[in-house]
Amino acid sequence: MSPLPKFSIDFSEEFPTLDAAPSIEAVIHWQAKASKPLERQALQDELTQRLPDYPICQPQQDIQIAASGTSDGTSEVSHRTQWNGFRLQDEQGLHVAQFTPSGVIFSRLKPYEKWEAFKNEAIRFWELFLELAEPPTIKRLGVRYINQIPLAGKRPSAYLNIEPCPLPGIAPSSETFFYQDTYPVPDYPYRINWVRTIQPQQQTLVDQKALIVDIDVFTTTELLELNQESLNQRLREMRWLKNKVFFSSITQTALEQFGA
Amino acid sequence: MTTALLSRGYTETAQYLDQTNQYMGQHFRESVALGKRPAFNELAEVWEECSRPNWDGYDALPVQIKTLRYAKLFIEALPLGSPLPSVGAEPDGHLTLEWYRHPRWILSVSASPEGVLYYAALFGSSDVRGSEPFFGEVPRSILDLIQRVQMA
Repeated sequence: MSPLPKFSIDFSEEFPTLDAAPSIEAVIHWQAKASKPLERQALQDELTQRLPDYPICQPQQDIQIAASGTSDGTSEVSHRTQWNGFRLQDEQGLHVAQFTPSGVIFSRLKPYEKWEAFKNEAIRFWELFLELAEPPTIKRLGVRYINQIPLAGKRPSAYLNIEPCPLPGIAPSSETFFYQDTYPVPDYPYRINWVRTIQPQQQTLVDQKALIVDIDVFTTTELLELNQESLNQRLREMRWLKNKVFFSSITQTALEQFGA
Repeated sequence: MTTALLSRGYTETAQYLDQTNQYMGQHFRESVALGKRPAFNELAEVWEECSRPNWDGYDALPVQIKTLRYAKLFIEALPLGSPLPSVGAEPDGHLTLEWYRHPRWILSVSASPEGVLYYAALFGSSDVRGSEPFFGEVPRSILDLIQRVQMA
């Protein structure tokens, strides 16, 4: 077997622009622990004042519950609820930011807009986080795109270069699946988490079964340089990787349907 | 993709697979489009308010940790992209999960500390009631009712 050709991120390789992109959520996630304590009320006041275009500001709570057996045969349930920052949403409900003590998660919901506008709005939140929380490093930076492709009675292989395995004599195709692949990116400090799954039919969200394709590109090393230039370079590379995975995995039918 | 209450095997491999299943079930938890964060936020708020005796000023029973756990597992077990319920509490200490379209088109599922789901739905002039034990997966009968509420 001949060795694989050396991989490199090549910005001269361009990808089609989609008029009807299937993205239902684009996310940039900075996982970066605050070095300054974020006090709940003070943070809410600050966010409300600084982000008037995000009038919805709701607290987020984490619930952890654990059940365990004891030596006398009974069981114990313990719990912990903890405030975990705020969830901010703009009036149109198109942008949602989760501003937490461990970082920022910024989401653009459908319809997807241009990368530059999305990235710049996300960076606006990151810069506010830098100012208020003073994280010393970025533990993990992620660029994630969740795509939803209504199946309209077709098989997933109409859109993706995969074919779920049939069970001969039992069923010609699977009703649902969850495939997850994780790839290291050779010679780059990135990893790609690629999920394909089926969303069941839901009247409110989609009127038919949908294929979900979730591509999450994230850093594998801590980022010590938090300047704008370094961040932009990382985001550019990660976006390119996301596009590479997406456009390598979809079929010509999908491309045409998405308005390439 | 649901969270099992009980491990369905005894080997380390079975436990690993249970954990993997659980991980898959939570894969989209941080997603705004597909996650369940708003329901968990409401659940935590209701728990804070209603875990003390007499939380309503009329001798209401406190919501127990076991009830909180069942309600959380139930929300986690909802299929990907399901409409999310509003969360409330009842004076008997049950937690209620409610899907609402209008006053006469509504589903309420009540989680008890014993792990029983009591449900009541109103669809115009007809109503549906029942109960199901909760074993970590949302019963088909309740999934059908959730879907019906959305179809008004």
